[in-house]
Amino acid sequence: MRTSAKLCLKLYAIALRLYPKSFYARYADEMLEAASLEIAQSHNLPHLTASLLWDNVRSLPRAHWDYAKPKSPVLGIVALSIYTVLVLFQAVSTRRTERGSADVMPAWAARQYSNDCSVAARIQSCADKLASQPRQEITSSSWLNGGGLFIGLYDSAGRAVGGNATLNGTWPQPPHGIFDTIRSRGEFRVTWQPQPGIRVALTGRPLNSGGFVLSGQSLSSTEKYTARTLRILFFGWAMMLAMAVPGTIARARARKRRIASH
Amino acid sequence: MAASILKDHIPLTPAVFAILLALADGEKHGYAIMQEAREHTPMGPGTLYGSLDRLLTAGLVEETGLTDDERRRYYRLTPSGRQTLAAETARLEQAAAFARRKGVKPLTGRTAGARA
Repeated sequence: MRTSAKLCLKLYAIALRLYPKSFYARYADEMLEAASLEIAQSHNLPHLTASLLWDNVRSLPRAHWDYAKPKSPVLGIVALSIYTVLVLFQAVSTRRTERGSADVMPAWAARQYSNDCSVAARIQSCADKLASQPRQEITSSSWLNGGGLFIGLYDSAGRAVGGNATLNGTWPQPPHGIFDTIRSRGEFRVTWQPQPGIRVALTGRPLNSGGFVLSGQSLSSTEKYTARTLRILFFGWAMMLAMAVPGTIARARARKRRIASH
Repeated sequence: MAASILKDHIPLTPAVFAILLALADGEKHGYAIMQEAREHTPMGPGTLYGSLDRLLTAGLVEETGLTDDERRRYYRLTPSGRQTLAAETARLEQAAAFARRKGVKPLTGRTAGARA
């Protein structure tokens, strides 16, 4: 055999290594024999080498698909289930993290005011100070989407004394149950929905005088961000499912045929 | 063979049809199949053995067990393979008859054949 023919055959033998191991073990000798006969009869070796290699390139993906793992659909289903659990975990964790981050500023403000306004004599001056600030309206889109902070002072009965924001023109008045919980727990963080479309991350702390300070921030931007993240996660999961399910079914059917034929 | 199994395989790809057709008149080894199949469709060893592997899996082709040496195994059609080939031939004949009824004339000479 000529040197160029030997080189061509060597190249083809190397290319055969790209096939899946089982396929290689089963057919490599036969393929090499066929290529060797082709080469022996060829008058245009470069063209034959190119067509042999091109034939390999075309048939390789299908061979890898046929021999790809997992062979069992059960493994595919397990992998999908694990992926689904991971996506769910990520979704829950995103929700918790984002909701938690919305409490940071209200909690800080509530702590500040509970320290500054705890002496009974100072409550009114605190309320006056708050009232002197430009008053914001909680239902306005500038407050809902602007990241503004609401501070409200309440007496021991839970009645509003003053604040820096109003809800529909009056001091925000959360349900009285909140004050009982603050009294028993010391600090209480809760989501308050004063009316449809308005959700506020609220932190409340007791004052030494017997009153309470409440601080809140709109959840609008946080919830929009969370919803967008969850949509992306869900889209990724659905895409994965759309790709994996037909593959798993095809593999299950192929496996069934393979078992039936042996 | 159940109609549903036939439905799984038909229509056949040109390479698979050519391989089954090459085996229609008796058992052959891979290289002989490839040479005959090339009368109808381009085919290299990768295409041949990839298709043969799937045909073995599907039970349309089987090994005879005879071998000159390790590098040369013989293959033959199974009854299912023969029925699949017959069904595909009938389908192609129907398509050809339909084309003729529509006035399509077959090409003649070398242009009609596939190049190897």
